[in-house]
Amino acid sequence: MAAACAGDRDATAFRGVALTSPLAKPSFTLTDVNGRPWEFAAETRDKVALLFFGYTHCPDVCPLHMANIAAVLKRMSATDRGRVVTVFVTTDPERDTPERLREWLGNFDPSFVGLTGTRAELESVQALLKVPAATREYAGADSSAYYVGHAAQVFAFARDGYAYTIYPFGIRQDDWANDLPRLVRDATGTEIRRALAAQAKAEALAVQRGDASPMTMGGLMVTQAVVAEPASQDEAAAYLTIHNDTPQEDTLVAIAADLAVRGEVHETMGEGEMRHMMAMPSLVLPPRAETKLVPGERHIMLLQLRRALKAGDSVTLYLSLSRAGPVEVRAPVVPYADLEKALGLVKTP
Amino acid sequence: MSFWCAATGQPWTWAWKAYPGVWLFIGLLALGVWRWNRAAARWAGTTAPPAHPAFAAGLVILWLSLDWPIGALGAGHLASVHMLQFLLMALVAPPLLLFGPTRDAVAMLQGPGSGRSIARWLVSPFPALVQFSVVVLATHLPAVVDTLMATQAGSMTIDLLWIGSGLAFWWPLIRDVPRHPRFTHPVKIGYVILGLMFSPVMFGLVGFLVNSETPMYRVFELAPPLPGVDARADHVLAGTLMSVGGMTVAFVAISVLFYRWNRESA
Repeated sequence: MAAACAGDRDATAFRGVALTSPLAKPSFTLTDVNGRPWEFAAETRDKVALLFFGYTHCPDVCPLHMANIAAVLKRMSATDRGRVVTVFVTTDPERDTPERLREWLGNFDPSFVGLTGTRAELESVQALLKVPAATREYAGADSSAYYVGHAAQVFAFARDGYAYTIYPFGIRQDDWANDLPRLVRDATGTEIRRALAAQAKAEALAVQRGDASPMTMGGLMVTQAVVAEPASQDEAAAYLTIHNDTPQEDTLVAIAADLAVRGEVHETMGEGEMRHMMAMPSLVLPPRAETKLVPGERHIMLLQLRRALKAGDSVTLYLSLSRAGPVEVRAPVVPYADLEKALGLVKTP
Repeated sequence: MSFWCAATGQPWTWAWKAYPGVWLFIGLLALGVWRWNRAAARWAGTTAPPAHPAFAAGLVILWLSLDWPIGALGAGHLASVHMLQFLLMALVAPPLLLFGPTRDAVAMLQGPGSGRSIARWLVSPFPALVQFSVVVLATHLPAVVDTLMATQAGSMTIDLLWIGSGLAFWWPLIRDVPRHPRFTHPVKIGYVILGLMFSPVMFGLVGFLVNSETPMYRVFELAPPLPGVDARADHVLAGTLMSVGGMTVAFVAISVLFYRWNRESA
């Protein structure tokens, strides 16, 4: 897990959010702004490919990502710059005509590639990347004025054809300036894998010590994510804290995990013998507040474990947030006795 | 409706927004000075003169810098407008506002009491210069700006610190410092040079803003962008404004001081 937090930065660390399993570059063909087919895998071979799904009428996330990437590319050497391809796939094909895509992207960097296609083609590409399909959000009665809800992260495929990191909303120019040259200079991905493995190890140790650094995503920060070592081989409980530092409410709409078939948020109801757990369909994250999932209250249940979990293992939790998009968190499995310490519920000397 | 301008994360629109906290603050400031002058007139057995035009001008400048659109743009969209707010609130409005209290009102500060002692100490040249420099530095640190501008209370704190420290900084230049040795014109010129023209704090901030390769402030870098505005260029403009604005105000202040020194010497 990489910390994208501005505070305590390790100069050698990647600032993007590390994926627990590298994502192979997908193979798809869409239409570029000249109306020609554009084959993603072939056109970006041996290059760093920054892939983003967005729309040109976007008021915030899309222009910010494009502007920040363009600003950092301008400061890189021509050789390094030539090894980066920024690909913008529209999620609003009706309004994003090839002409508009060309003009809009050209305002940031004329080298940016704009791709479009039919709604079905675009949805299948989003599915390849495992991001939720874009949705329309109408602001009023006017059916031509709408926002598009879409994934807010940039996928960075390294030159070896794998994405090791993603860059959510909240990533700054400084973060891109730190990561992009390192992605560009590693043709085989060896150094990237080594650096990210070292980061993951350091993070796991920090969690076990109870002083883990937070994972931030679009103004949302996930801290103290742990899984209690389960007595059962079928299910386990996970706990974490989500800090919503944005002025808007967000909602946790789904949970998945790599080592469980299903994930649910449960709430402990009643007292004594009447105590029972009830699944919650969603969890509202109020603005500028922290939401704690702790033992005895609201927590995550990982159901139908794929294998028995023991202390020292780690589970990747995939949180789907309605505004911030998908968030990936690595949660170490800790002995039940160490749970309160890991969750920061007891002060250690 | 919001009480005070703060960074909202919402895209900028030119639709007017009301900030009643700003109106309340300006109203209370005007009322406070009026009542202070009335009390001083009763204390001195005179009648309070009408408000000085410079004071009214200071209030208008303060209101413009705090209210929509400057206040809203500076709180959460553009670093350059945020810097313009600083210049207006700390360097332009305070010297004008200081024409508000009458001579009798200032003379009241010479009386006994711990509150008055603290006020006298705050407007003494050395403490005023130090606290002004500390406030300028602290309120421009990225961690402070990014944290405070996100809330109305935090944004208001920064604004009030600028106004308060500006009033204290300008007091020894505009008004007499009660119970304090005479602050002569040459010393005043040195004070302006040290505090504004060649202020190490302001020079340092300008250097960071102009020369930093990436934007300093998260709140402005990640704000929903305004068409055609680049975050880095916005930060450079903010640094240039601080440099040029500070120099201009210092130059005007030194010119006035020279003029007065020359007139009094003659």
